[in-house]
Amino acid sequence: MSDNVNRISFHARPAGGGKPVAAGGAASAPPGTHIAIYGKGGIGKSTTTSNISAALAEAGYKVIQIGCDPKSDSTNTLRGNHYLPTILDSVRGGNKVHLADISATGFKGILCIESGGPVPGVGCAGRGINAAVTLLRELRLFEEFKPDYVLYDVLGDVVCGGFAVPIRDGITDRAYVVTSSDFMAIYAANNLFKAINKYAPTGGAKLGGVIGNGLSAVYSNAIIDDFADRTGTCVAGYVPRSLVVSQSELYGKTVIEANPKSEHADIYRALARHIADNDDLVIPQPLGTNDLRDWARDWGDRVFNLDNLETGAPAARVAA
Amino acid sequence: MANILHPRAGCALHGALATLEAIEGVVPIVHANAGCAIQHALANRDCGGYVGGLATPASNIVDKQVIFGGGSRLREQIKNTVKVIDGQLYVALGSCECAMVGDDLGGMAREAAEQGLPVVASNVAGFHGDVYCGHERVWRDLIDALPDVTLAAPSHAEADARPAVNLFGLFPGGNPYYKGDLEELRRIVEGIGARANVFYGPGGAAALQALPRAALNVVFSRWGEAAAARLEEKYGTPQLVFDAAPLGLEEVALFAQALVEKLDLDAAAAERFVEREEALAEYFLLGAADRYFDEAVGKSAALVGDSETVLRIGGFLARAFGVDIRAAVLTDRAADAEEMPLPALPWPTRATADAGEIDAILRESGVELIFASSLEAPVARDLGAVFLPVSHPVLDRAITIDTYVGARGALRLTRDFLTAARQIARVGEARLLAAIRV
Repeated sequence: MSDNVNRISFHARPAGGGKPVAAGGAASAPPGTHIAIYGKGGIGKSTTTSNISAALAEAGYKVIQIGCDPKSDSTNTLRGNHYLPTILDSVRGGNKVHLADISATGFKGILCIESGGPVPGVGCAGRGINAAVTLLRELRLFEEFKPDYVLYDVLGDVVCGGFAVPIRDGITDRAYVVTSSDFMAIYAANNLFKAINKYAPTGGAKLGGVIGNGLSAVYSNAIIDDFADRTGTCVAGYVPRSLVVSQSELYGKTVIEANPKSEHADIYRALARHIADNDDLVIPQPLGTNDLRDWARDWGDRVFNLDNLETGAPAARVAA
Repeated sequence: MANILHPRAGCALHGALATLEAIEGVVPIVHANAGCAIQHALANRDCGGYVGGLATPASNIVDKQVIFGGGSRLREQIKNTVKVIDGQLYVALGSCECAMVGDDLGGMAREAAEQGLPVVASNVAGFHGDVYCGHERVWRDLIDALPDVTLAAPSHAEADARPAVNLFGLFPGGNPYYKGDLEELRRIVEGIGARANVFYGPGGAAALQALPRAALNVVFSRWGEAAAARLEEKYGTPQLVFDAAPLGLEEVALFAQALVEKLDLDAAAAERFVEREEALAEYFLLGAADRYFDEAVGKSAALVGDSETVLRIGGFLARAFGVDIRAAVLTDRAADAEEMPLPALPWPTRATADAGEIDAILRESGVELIFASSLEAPVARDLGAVFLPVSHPVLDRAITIDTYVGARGALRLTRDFLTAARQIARVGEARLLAAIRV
């Protein structure tokens, strides 16, 4: 209790003399750089986020990674796949939630937290994310832990207002989007750009850049470059498809931990360095639905030609 | 079940509404389904101040806004409200619906603020909790927003050299006499040489603007502690925390002494004020002593209300009149008793807002006097006990500047208590006469 507070009772004292928890909320910006990482489901958000966290922690920073996905498996590779009760599990229990119950310390001191969500098919996951993120602020997590970086790994298809919470209300000031060169992943990225475009003018997060992941074809980088160019954004890094990543994941570890000397570990380190240093944030200009289709068709033609060149065999061209 | 039949107070949104309505110059804008604001108005017939009650600006969202988001509807509502209602500060209040669909209330407020409009947002979805929770939340958001939001009119009190004191913890939605209580506190604070910054009163918005510059935050209940803690964190303002507002001269003297010490005021001047108050009280009470000894010794009572009211009034009754308090029901502490221990009172104490439980407690107590809300009037009638309305809701009495705080509140409570004792004596006499006739 502060020395600045004098308590005087006319009647009786509370038995425990407890002090109420000062309610949290959108106060002054909490310590640390808060980064949201979005991307289509299954595209490698959690793998990428965890490796960035691991690289940042390895470089000596204090890092928190918060999984904002009802699947609650974002931080698995940072903490050896052990069970971690989610925030919403604790909320469901009905008791007062304590930070110690919902967090675990992982690789190089990274604080791992999972928001969790309702049972699939019931309740409202978006509201769950919203409530979980608010609760963390009310528990004064950031004031207590004093992180350098906080990474929010968020379910990428911004399906409703709840999933956009990390990029508004002043929670994060920058977002990155993980995408492959597949059309559906780019479509999801474009949707995220729509959400950023909507919220950034009123204090929401801006875009730090696009992270290309799982790139295997010769034209993959070019597709992502072109998409970034069309939407007024830039590419933060390219992560090629690799067995090292899959193998590390199977061991329940990040590449940084399992294969620290691999080329991929260096790729993630470079990506983490870029994200740590980059203050060049933009409001993306998403493509309209028809523009996006036309752009994709255009790339369809180019890829067809490329394939022909490479293999020499004529491929069946999709009728226009 | 009983709580469903007789809800004592509303949800967090209603708590925020009750708070804002009490601040003159502040205009709430409710972003909710049709029905959320009117429930508050219908449940609180005396509510509404500068703006509020049946004339509350609201977005009245429908299915379309739930599906596609209600941000633009709120934007429109803010724009239109500012045009037709002259306010110094507008507060957009969120609701369950807008929290569920994730409407960006803060973004809408920031957008309006960028256009030079004094607009603040507060997410007070009803499902967050009861009225007290809403009261705490809206204060948190006001405090967080205040230095950056310029209110439309400056404070008139700024030129005053006396140290200003913010008064927290009397919740308009829980204490039906808050207006009179705060005026009495203002009189006392000014009597001892400081200046009271009263939000719930004339010039409330100006008081709000002056809030960061106060020399001290005085807290009278658990429901003002979060606001004072926030202000200390933000501006380093010291706090003086009481468990209730002062009632009776002993407590007024203690209160004055604490304020003098904390603010380094002129102790002799404060003492003279307290002495004058004592002399005045003595003058009014001299004739009442005989009546007390004839009719009011050894009365029994039960109290139902928020903890501040119960502590304040119960404490005075027990100390001044030797009233035997057989039951104290704290209606504001049912939800958070686990988080914050209940005050250890020398009376049988229960924390519940359940009408059925309260009914049972009162029936079992067998008391002669029931100090409670109008919800307890029927059971008091049933039991033949005298009912005195002291807590929310009060439907049996119109309230203006009445108070149960300070020196004047003690005189008023004395009058009410002695009048009640006379009623009981009359009933006793009638029974006796009837028995003799038989």
